[in-house]
Amino acid sequence: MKKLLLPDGPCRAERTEFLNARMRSAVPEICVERARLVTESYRSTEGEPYILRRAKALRYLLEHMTIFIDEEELIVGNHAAKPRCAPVFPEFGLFDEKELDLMPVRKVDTLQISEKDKRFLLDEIFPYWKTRCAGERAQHYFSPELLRILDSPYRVFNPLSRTRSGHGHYLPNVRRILHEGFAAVEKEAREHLQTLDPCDPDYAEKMQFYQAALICVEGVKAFQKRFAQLAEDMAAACGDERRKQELLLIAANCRRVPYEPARTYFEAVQSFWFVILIDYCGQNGSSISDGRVDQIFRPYFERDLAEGILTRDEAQEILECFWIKHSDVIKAGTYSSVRNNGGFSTANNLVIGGLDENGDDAVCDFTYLCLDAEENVFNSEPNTSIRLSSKNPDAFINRVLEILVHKEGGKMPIFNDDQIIPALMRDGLSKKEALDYAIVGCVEPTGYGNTMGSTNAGMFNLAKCLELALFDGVCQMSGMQMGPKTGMLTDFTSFEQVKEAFRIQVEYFVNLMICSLNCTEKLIGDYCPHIFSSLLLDGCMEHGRDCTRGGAKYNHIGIQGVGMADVADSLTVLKKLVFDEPRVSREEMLEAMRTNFEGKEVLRQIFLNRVPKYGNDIEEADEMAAWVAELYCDCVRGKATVRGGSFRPGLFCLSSNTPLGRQVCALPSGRQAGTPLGDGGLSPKHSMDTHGPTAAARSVAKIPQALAINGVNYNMKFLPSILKTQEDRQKLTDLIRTYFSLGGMHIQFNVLTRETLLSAQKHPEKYRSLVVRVAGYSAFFVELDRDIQNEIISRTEYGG
Amino acid sequence: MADGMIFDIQRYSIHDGPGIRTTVFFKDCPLRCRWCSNPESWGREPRLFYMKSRCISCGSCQAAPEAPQEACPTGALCLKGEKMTAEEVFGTILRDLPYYQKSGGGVTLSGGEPLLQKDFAAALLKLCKDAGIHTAIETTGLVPYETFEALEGLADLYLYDFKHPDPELHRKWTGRSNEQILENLERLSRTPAHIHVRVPVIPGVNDQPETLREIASFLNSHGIRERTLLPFHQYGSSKYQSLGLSYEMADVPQMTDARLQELAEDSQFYQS
Repeated sequence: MKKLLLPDGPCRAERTEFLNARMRSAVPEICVERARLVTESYRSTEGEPYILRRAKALRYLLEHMTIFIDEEELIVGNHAAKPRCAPVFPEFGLFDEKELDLMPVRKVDTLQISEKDKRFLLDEIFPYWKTRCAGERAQHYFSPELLRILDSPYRVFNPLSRTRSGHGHYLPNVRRILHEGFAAVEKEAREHLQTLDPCDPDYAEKMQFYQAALICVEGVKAFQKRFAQLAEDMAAACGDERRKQELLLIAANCRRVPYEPARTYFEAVQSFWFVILIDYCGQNGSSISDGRVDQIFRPYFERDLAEGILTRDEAQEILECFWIKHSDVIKAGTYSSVRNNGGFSTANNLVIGGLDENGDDAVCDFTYLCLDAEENVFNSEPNTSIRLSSKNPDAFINRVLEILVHKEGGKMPIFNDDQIIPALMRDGLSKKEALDYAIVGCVEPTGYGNTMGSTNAGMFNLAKCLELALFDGVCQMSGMQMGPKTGMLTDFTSFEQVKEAFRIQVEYFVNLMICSLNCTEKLIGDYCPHIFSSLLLDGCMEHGRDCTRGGAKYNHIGIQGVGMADVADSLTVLKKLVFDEPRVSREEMLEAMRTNFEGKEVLRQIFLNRVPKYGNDIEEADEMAAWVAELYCDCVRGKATVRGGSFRPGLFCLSSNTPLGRQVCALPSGRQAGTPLGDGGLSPKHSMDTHGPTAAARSVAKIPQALAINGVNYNMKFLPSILKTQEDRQKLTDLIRTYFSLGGMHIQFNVLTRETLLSAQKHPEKYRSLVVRVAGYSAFFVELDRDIQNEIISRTEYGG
Repeated sequence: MADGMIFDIQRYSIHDGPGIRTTVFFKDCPLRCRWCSNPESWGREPRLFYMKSRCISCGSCQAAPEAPQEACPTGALCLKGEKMTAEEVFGTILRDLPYYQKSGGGVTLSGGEPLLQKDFAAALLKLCKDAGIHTAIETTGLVPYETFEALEGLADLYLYDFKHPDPELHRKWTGRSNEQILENLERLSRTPAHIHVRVPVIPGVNDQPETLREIASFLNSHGIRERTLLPFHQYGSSKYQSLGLSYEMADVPQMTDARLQELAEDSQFYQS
């Protein structure tokens, strides 16, 4: 194929295959280099304000970290010293020796680490941070009540979950950097410094902020120059004329971006990757998200095509290089955390489609390039998502389904523009901002480049609250008095009293969780400002304030309720069998829960099979779920965050329904102690939705989803056999569209057979490329924890 | 109004007519096709159905011999066949109305043979038509022609089964001759009714190109253009166990798409 930009050489498919094979075969390791450099920098800045210390640490890192340009790469920039390795972020949290020993042998997110590197971290790096990292400092920020919760192995929520990671979870305004470059940021910071009002009471904070901004921009310039130099040096030494030309093109890009505005498509893509990458190098947060890549690159693509300096196929080739780069960014988590979110999910969400700034169909030729890139690369990252409006063509959604069937997997969740845009406007965004929304991380609709949303601040165990509500606040797994004393089930004479006790437990723990998160965010604002992210968020520069301290235009903290279906199904059983037609005594119910139905299997089967369940389009069961959802959202909504703005409720759970299930005793729904809770936040309980997908989707649409503005998650699993033909897929498209017209905000699919998944468990080596939808993110199936694999297998599948 | 005897209502039915449909399965059938995938439809009376995989051997059923399915806590035992009014069935159908509207779908009466309960079918179809819902009938065709006349204007589509062109072989494999079936099809084809003929391709029964060619030529001579070959499958085999029946085609392999394609080409089945 004729080329205009790149020298003649390998075809697109060859390059993509080569790079992808390389990325997939990389063995993830712990990379200690970042820990060393950051510690060196911090040692040299003792006593300075933390915002400057962090800015200097980032600059030092960008000046000194190992950089490389891998064979055949067109888009460059590495996260760690080797491909797909995990840097260490000691300023956020440390690993103890046991944790490091576990990393190479744990079954999920396995990370190699040499004995030498382990000793280096434990003996030379971590001691410095012992009293200084955010995780350790948290104790000074928490109330005695929160510290008490920390000591218990069974909890409604985990107060420490946020301290180790930093925020992540936002949409940096990379579009602005493509258009104006960091040169504009630098100019702005200089001007602010020069014009700061001496009587401004926040003078010191603002001055330090702008100084820190300038330090970060210096770091960015040093980083891109180093890559330019490396590419030139490699070109000079390169015997292959074709690769030499490519290296010189790479060098030219790096000489220019991201400091200067991008002039071409190729520069824009390189600039984009540098900005996202540097943010990931600076903080340990996940889910820093790309946003609407099709809309952002579109003008560059169209202009270059029109000017005859780029072919469509070259644009595709560069885009696929960019796509593959996303797999380079992985983070090292503790075992307890990766069991929740296993599969190296960085959850960088990239969204395409939807409406444009005028409210018209935004799907364009470049959107289809993105879909082709998704099919040709098909890794767990980026977390590619679909914005769908009734104005988008069926061809767009049919193509998405076609890819899922071809690849046999689960990716590309679908979000409903027609529900989400009005909901975001009610939440405070302007119409223009709402039309430009994108998805953060897994499922969280967020304003682009203007919102520090902390969208995944924590998971809240609703099912545990039901356990406490029936046992006077006493945890049945530990015997501890955990929640307020709201009475035993045997004390209640009406079903309304059950609901009231549950409400009190939920409210009590939501308030505690809110307290813990405000404390944690205060801590991060004090010690771990996110200065680079602040350069990419509207509002921070204007306010002279870091985004961790409320500098951004919009501020939120999002917390998710988990276990709605389990609670709803349990309440229906309690109502019908214990109160309405007393078939089971209250004593017997408590006994069954306490003993995990020992000797009461018949009773358990009656609970499971003879009482209506959420997900079958049966009013009394669905209304119970809607009540639980509304109660949770009402408890969360409107509470103020330490950064300004408010808490936002979500109903999704990543894969935490499995570990959270381990915390909960047997339930009246028939669910046994310790087993996973329902998946997906909104999804009906596994195998309980027996009336097929139209009934299930109708049930799910009865939940007041727009209240859960932080995001919802509904999983469906289909057998590939019922999506074989274009006609079949059109029917699924119609199902999605109907579900959306009924009020659904999100839906996603796994298109797989049970046999495929079982076979992948047995022969993981043959299924390295099998990508499944876990929850709000996708992962390589074989990299998941066994329990989570089993949970995915157990989900209801629809087929014919 | 007579109640209907229904053994299943399946929502999101996508292979029985256009769009997303709800399929209502009627009890009783004049045929006993040896490959039948819905043997629970046989006979007018409800049948006890037992799913071994769900049974926990608790013995609850033995303590309630008069209605064991009601005592079963797991749903392993259930009754296939329930008396329902047209309004009750219609209530379920109506639940997916938005899906039909979006997809151009509707309701399909299937079975068994829905036309054996013609008054009930007519009442149900009338309710659907009045609500603007597209209606289809999947039929063996083995009913008096007056039944079709009685339903005139109520069925937007007939999914008409055609198993074998030879009367004797038809009798051998289904228990009844095909004479009335073909005569009804011929007569129906002269009316404005919308007919789509479906041929289940069964190994050893009609999977010879010449047999299929004969069927195609019958359809061509009566101007019936719409037709589909359906591949033999084994989805129904476990039901025989559940009903305590033996299934003589249990070991016959499912038909592949490739084989079906080949047969269609060899017989020029789709050329009208």
